[in-house]
Amino acid sequence: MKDKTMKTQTLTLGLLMATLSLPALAAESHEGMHQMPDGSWMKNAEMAAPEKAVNSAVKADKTVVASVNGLVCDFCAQSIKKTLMKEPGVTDVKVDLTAKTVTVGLKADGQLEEARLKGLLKEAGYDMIAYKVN
Amino acid sequence: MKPIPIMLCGLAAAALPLAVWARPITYPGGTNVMVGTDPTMDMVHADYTINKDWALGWASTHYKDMDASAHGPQLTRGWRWNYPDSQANVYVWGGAGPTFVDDKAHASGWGGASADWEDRRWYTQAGTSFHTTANGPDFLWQTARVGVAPYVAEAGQLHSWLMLQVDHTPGARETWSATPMVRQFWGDYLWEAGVSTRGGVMLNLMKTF
Repeated sequence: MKDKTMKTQTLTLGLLMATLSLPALAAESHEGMHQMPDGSWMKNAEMAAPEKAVNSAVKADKTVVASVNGLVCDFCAQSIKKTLMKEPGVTDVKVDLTAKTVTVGLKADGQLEEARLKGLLKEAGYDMIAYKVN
Repeated sequence: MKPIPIMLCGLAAAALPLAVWARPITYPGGTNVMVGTDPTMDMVHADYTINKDWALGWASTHYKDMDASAHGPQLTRGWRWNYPDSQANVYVWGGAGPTFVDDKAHASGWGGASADWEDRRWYTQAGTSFHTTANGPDFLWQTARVGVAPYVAEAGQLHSWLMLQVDHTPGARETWSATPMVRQFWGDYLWEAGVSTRGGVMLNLMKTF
């Protein structure tokens, strides 16, 4: 009985490890990409025009970009998105964990002042250290 | 039937780890719902984030072997320090509620503290907790975790961690235990699975609303 339990546990852990390896293998596929000095990967097209690549990914008439401390995981990204998407005039939010930036898409007549964005990010639990309007 | 103090001691040993793996505070107005199971128990825990510092929650736990359950509200205070490539958190929590054994309610209270530091590659965490029950023993428990991400994921991708949790439970039959586990999260979901040296598979799931 104990042996059977141990086999079940070993099998379960083995399946989990196999599941885990799939995204790792996927992450090794970098066709059409360029490795940055920090080890991250960027599409060749984005290398040629990084700002255009960011702006085209955000559904908006204009964007503001914040550099943020404390961005380490997808839960951080989700918290920030859900906090900022409640703000009037915000159409989209993209979080880049590698660049440590939050890009906020706005309507043409939308505004998100530096102090307001800093406050919203603080409310979500993060610290804004730089702000740029595109 | 086992004496109640021994049973309650067992209850506390099973329940306490769940308070630490959970991430009780999310964005203001958000709710985290956590469910966990292992061969000894099932658990549901929900926390509503009042603001970046406070969350108010509810925990319900059913203990399979003893057919006992504990329920109660819990208040959590959090502090966070943000750095360019990492973040650190400290959580302190306390709660109270009845523990039901053989349909009899026993007043009980609990509390604890946990600290963690993580970047996109490494994770460390340590915590301690207690559970006290009227007509039962006080109970103390400590845990520590270390983890490494085999690959660094971007927002929106599947994040995976290999972790080792070590528990110290004075008064338990086996004072020390270790649980190697896999933690993954994607979007609003986090799940963990591992096998303890005490025996049995551990599964935890959390979703943020």
